[in-house]
Amino acid sequence: MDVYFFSEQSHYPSWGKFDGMLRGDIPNEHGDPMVSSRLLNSYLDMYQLADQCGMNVMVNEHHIASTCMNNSITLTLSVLARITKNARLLGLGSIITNRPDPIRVAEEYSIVDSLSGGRLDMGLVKGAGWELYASNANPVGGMDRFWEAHDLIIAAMTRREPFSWEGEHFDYRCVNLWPRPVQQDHPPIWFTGNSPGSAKLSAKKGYVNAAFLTGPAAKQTFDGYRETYQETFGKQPHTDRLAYLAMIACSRDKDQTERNVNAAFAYLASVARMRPAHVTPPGYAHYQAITQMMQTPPRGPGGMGGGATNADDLAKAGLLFWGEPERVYDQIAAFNELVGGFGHLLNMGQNAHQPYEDVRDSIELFGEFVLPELAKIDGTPTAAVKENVTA
Amino acid sequence: MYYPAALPKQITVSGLQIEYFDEGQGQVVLYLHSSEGPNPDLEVVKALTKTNRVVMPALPGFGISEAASFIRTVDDMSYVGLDLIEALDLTDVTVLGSSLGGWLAVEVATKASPRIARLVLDNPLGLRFATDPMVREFPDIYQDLPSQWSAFFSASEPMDGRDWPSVERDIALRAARNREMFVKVGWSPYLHNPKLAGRIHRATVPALVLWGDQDKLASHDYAQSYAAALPDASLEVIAGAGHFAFLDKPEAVASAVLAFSGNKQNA
Repeated sequence: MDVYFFSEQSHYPSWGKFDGMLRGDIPNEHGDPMVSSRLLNSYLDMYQLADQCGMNVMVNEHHIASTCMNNSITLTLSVLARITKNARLLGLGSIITNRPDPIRVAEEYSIVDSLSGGRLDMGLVKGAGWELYASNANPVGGMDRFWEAHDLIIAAMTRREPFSWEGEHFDYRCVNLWPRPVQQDHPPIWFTGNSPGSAKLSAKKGYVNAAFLTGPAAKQTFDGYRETYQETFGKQPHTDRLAYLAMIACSRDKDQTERNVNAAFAYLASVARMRPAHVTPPGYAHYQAITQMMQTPPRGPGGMGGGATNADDLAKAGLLFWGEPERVYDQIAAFNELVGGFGHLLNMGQNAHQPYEDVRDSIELFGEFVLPELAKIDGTPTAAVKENVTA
Repeated sequence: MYYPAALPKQITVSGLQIEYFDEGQGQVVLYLHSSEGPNPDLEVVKALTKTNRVVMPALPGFGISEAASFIRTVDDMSYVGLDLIEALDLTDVTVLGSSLGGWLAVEVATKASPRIARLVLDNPLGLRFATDPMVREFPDIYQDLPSQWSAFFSASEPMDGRDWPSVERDIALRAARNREMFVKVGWSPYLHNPKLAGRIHRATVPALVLWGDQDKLASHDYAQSYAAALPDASLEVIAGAGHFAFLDKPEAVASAVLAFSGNKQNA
């Protein structure tokens, strides 16, 4: 199992200055630009340290949000291409459902792969609901746009002659990608998929499927991936096709653990500060799925974490692996076993107000004590999963 | 707020299977429904069917009417409306449209079918008069859940009292599909067609614009500008009605349709 360090690069000092929603609604007057500057540089320091400690790195992208200042995956990855040495550079991902110009995505990803000498992992995603309000892309038919943009990006990276494209959503007179990516035919592709249904989409293509903070439900997602992969390719996928994102905080002592756990809870609380329509904009999900939601009475404790109230709950829910390195390893190993095995751990290693010093300690402890042990975890699916798939 | 409902008949127009309602005798009223879809049990439909032949299609992508990739806008839908009028051989048609349907009625009328005699536009959408790009003509209901839209649509039922878990699957599916199509054609440009202003002079038939004085979506100024933009239109204010005047004051809307078409017949 390998590991990618990740921070959402939030402007957390603004959260206490505004009572409402942290995405869409929070006025940027609360975002002191000098604070943004200090924080963004500090996040880059963390990424650099993660590389020095043997981890890969991952960045994401959001807009109109104080919870994620990074509004361009490729801008930040370009910087990381220069200030990291060995790390794979994962962008997860570029929101191609909403981008009016997919060729620009191909061009910028290509620059990152070129600058880094072929270290790019290329994430292509549908995007969170509120992104539609930022891009103003039509919520209806998003997946059609997604697939056409996907096909176009692949074509741009793999064709060796200029070509034209007159599709339903995109129209180009001359596509001719310079520079082309270092990794041939194209950099590895990652999708996010938090349900068995969406994992099928990546499985059919043989792409990496990453589940984000879904907890034990990742088992169903990964099982769905393995089943479709088996049907499509006639064999079981290596665990390197599956990734899971969790918050991780290694600490030296009890006080540091407490601070880290509090930061994780602060992150979870920030997730809830979103308009309901920004979670599922009308038209964003297919009407059949919407019908299912309309006709299902509301369930128990909502929100991410399902009502977790203490650190043990968070670990059991697969949301936060915390404490001294041995404990962190044990929690990860147990979760890996529970969900049937995955090859990439996405280490959300800086959350909310968690300060640089605590993140630094966490990265160093993780790199020294946890990473070497995770590297020993077998990279093939477990027997139980094979049985499940062939049953 | 009302539930959508199935319609009894089907016809293929523009290559699309369209479900529709066609009942009553007399002068034809083509009723173009709101974003919440068609329902034959609406009071306004029942009232008009007493004296008129009422034809009410489920617009493409609404109900179980087929959608197609070439239907992306209300303008695109207008060709289906014209095809339907011709396929059913309707003449001397009063086109009544509510909200989204009022917008569509104007789009159809700009294509100048001689079969259309007059328009009754019940709180129509579709035009933008604001010139400041930072001023929105209508509040952005798409930043609220569909369950919150009643507050913008209805003065009599600002709280959506519909009980979705209890209704038949078919009805819930229709509602969800209606909302999806409403978002598809209404998202951007938001609830208007920028090109319509340049074409509206072609909608030369007599028109009556109705505006509910409790409308939370479109203002009185908007309704006045709308009537002024049409070549031959007057404005009638319906007291106590919201944006869905057909729902809040069905008798007033039905009476207005009858008086307007009767007056024009006698003229």
